[in-house]
Amino acid sequence: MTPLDDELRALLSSRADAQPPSPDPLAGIEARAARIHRGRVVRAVAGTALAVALVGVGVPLALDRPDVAGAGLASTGGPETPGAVTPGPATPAPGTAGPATSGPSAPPLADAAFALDPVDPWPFRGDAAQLSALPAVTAAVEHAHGAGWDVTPLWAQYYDPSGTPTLVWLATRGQDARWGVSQGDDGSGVVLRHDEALAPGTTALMAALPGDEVGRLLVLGSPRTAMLRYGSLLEGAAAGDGVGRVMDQSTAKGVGLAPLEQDTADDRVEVYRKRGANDPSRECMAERTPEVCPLVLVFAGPAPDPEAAGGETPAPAVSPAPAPSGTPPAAVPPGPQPSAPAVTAVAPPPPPAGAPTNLLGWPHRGVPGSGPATKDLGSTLGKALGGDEPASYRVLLEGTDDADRAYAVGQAWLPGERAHSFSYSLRPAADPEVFVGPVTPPGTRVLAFVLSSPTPGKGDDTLVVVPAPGATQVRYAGDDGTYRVVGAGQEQLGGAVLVDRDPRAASDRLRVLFGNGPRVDTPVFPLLCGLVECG
Amino acid sequence: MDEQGRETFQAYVAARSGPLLRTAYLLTGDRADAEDLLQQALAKTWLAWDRIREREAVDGYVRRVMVNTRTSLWRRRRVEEYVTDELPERSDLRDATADSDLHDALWRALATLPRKQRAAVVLRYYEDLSEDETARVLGVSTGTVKSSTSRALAKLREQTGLRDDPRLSLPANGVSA
Repeated sequence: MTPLDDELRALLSSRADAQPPSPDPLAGIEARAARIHRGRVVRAVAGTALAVALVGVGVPLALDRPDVAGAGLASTGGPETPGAVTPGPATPAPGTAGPATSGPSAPPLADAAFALDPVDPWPFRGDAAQLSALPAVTAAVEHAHGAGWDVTPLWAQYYDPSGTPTLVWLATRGQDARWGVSQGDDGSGVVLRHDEALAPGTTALMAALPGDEVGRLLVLGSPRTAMLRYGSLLEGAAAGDGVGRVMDQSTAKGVGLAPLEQDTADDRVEVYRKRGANDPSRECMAERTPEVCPLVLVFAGPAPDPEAAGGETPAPAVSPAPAPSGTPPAAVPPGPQPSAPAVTAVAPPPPPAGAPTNLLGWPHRGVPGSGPATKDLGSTLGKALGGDEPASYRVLLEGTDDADRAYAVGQAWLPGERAHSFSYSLRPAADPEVFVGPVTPPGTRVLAFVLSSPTPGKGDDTLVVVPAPGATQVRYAGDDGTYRVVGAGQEQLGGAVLVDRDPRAASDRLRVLFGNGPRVDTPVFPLLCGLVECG
Repeated sequence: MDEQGRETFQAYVAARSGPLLRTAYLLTGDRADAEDLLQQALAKTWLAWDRIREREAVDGYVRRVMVNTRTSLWRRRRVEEYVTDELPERSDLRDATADSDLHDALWRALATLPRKQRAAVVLRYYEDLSEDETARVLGVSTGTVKSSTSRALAKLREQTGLRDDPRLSLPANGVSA
């Protein structure tokens, strides 16, 4: 025992013991639980009224462990990525007869029948009105992976809280196949929230998507899926004890949506098919016993990481908007841009040795020295990024706003890692505000951050927009959808723009023009994604 | 939740809210934040109550929710809270049981640790959990717990000047140079 050990124990005990108990520890718990529950349900399945009534129904667990093992669930044998997954043989292992998921009388329905076949994919499900986004999605896929991809929509939904169409797609080119999830509206740029190669035999597509408060889990299985379940293994439970919640399939058969917890380390997803011809009964949904619930496990595996919902993995890429007349969309290549307008901008220094490859080659903008003092910024950013040592960083914009708030925007990175965007601001007599965004994706054209109103609950926030060099105009539309040119009188920012933003804005948009050709047209909220959440 | 479940949950809260509040206080360093954190954790536990079959494991479940919620809130509040190398002057940190300059310095140093490191220290040195138990609560590997705790202790040593004999090495102002 070292002196520090002793002192630490003594300190913690004395400080903790000095805390009197709450006079009424039960007060407010039930009401808060109800709020959490409502928020999860509404945000997870927004866009479907029926979902609100169905999601979040707790169901006792009754899965039998050997069945899950037979379906390829293992703590080390699961899929390598949180997205597409390829389970092992779903046919129960010999000698594991038990409840309905594995009984020897299970019909010989090959699991291959439930796999997504790129040649003969699952039929489209969901809201066909959102298919107008398909050209933009195709453009985004080709922007990321080259030309020649044939993109097939698998499912679409209009996500009400943020007014965002969501599209799950399959892309094929020769023998190659990819799948992904895009978000964005018709005729405008889209964000690829998920994009990865499709593994042969994949029976469930899973992605963590941003939600308004908590992330959303999306699971897409065969249209013949009987039941989807999602939940965590509680402490003391073992793999195979099952997961605790039936996912809502009201948007479409085989499509499940559920709110994601912040920590899904033990969360799992299970996909079942029915054993006979009948759909699961109501009793089956409520009580999973072999007698009343004859289902066969098709897939079981870990749930995707909700932190990916913040846009870190994969990094979102804003794609160019397609031309309005249906002609092929104009590409917005990353790299050198047209010459910047006459602005206050200092050419970037050469990247330091060992700098990450995603460091933006944008100039420093704003008036040097007008931003906040950054004495401890490296250490602060390092810790915010989860490191133990100071982060390296590069400031792309600095200045002081009308509220006498000094701010800086840039990129920060830990040794050997990719760079994240960040903002840092400081008001007189106030603590600094630090925000770390996701890994900066290649081809980034716009960075945006919000500086909250100096008076909480009153006044507008400030939206800081930092476009790539060459931007000739920035337009902003609030929730009313009316675009206006912004940035007048802000020439000292070198093309960056400060915009007054209603703190309640939910569907505001940015449109950044680069010369007369390409543009970025995007909802604001994806640009505000941090390491965990958006908005 | 049926009536029986409600009663067992209420009994659990009545019995365990005190100790859990103390843990929450050590995780947050602030009484109001601790009460909010505990209420949030208990509300989530309430929602999961019917699925928690092993009542003996509830404390661990609540701890885990608190730790993860704490991390989540920190990230969500992005502008209100941040970590810094500088030890702030916090007169409110000295409570009625203030032990010594050493403890004050140690307490302030604790406040500068990243959330996960602080949680590891609290679970190991206050809850007396083993490294394996701490790993399960934090949702990380045992090796990560070891390294996090080691780094945390190194920082505490560095920031408080605690070495071989703490009372000899502590600077006069309670904070190392």
